[in-house]
Amino acid sequence: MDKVEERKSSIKYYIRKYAVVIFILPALILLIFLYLFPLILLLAQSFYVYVPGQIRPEFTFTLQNYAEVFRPVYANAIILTLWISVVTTIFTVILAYPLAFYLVRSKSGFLKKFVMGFLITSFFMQLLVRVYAFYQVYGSDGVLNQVFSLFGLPRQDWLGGPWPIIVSMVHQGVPIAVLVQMGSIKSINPEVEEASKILGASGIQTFFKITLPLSLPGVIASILLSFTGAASAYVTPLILSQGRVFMMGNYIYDRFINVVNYPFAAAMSVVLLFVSLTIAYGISGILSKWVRVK
Amino acid sequence: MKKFGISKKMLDSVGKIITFFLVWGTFLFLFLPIMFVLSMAFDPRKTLAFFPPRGFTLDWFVVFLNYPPFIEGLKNSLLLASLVTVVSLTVGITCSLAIVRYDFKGKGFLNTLILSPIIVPGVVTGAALLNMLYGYLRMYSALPNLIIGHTILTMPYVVRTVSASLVGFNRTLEEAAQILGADELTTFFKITLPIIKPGIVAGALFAFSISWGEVNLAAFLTDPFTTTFPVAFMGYMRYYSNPAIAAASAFLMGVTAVFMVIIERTVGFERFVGLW
Repeated sequence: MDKVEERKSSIKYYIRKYAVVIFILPALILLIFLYLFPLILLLAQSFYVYVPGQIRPEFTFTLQNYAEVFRPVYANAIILTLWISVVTTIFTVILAYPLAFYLVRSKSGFLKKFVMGFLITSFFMQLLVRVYAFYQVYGSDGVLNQVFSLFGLPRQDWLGGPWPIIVSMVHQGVPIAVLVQMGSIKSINPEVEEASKILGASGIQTFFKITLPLSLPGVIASILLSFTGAASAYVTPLILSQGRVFMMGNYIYDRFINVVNYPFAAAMSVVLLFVSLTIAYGISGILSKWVRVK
Repeated sequence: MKKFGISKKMLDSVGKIITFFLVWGTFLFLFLPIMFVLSMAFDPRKTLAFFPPRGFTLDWFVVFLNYPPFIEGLKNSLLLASLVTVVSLTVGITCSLAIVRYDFKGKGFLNTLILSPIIVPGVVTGAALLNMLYGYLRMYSALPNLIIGHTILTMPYVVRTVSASLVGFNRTLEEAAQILGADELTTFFKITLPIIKPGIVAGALFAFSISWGEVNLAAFLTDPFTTTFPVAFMGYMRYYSNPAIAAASAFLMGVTAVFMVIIERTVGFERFVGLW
């Protein structure tokens, strides 16, 4: 009897001891073999020589794909992508902040619930529904051109330019940014702001010296999310510009699916990943340093 | 500073007015375009229909429901989103338990790895998976590939929401159950799971809805025979310009409204936002 008991307890003992391993193993396998490893393979693929018509030719090392990526046509797409992403991020974060602030600080009532419900709804709404919404605004007979002709102004071909893409991506980004910013605004103790006002600071001073720096973690998170979201866009430009504006994502998709030039597409992806991570972390690093100095 | 007392007050009220316009301007900017789409679903014009609608018809819903790729895509997307939710929850809950409750080597690395799909551009993830699954493993069937891709994309959300509800967990409840004779599994299913339910529901909703609407990665991993609904939607939008798209959108908004009711009834909007 004693021996059986001992054995049982020792099995249990081992299960307990290695519970962590059992718990993290599925996630670890999934993430390492099906996420990290593919990313490394993508990096490897970017050094292959492109052989038309072959997905996996013999490996010969080359930097040709990267030279190709920095040719003017594609370099312009990189610059355009960065520009669109930066502008999108700035507008998204600035528009989201007052809304997040309002939702945290205002008394709960029907209006607040309605706004909150709408924000969560649009978070869950299909991307394409929202892209189509801006097709309605910017299209040839769209709302904007109707307003223009009301004032006797000539109709414009909006869809060929970057602005519909930017506006549509701000529309996509704001709900997520609001949700992310709300968390850190909620954690600010209103008494700290009161104290600042009692000590003679104006509302605007209090906002810029106390409230904004304290809510910066949420702001940084929303910058990261909207920047990488915008940098990797390709469905929005594809639909809204009807294939006329090419961002980096469009080239990556096109070269993978239509041209089947894996090495070039891989090199472009690596550049996109590198650039967007560098810029996103650069911005957030500078901002968090700025707070620490204050 | 006293000299400027009045102007300081004025400045503050100007600030308040600007804030008011920013809040409601932003809300209208988010709200109105969606209403344009909703109203266009009932527009009777055949092509090049733009807001405002001229008349009322339900024909486009019929067109939408009779277009085979849409129906095929709806079936596939429902199946895919359900499977992704199950896989993502299973992997995510166990992983959150480990992260919140245990200390182990490489915890920081695991955390970064799990959350990184949010920061890594979706196109790159899609490209990396396509490159490996098609180029190296020659796995051409769309559904398993999509499940892999969407599970990776949705894991961060599940782990975040479940972890958030595990952090505020009173463990004496579990100890009480075990003192009263329950074993670990019983404790987990009877005590732990019910208490972290809000986190699980929120995580499930994130997982389901992200997989259901995801198009960046799906465009890479679908094939001509297996499309998801968003990919079919995108295909339709590229070649047609009639209000059937608006009808499809209105239908999807109806589905989203069901999500909203579930969230408000089970978790509550405020709590749901807090969990993220």
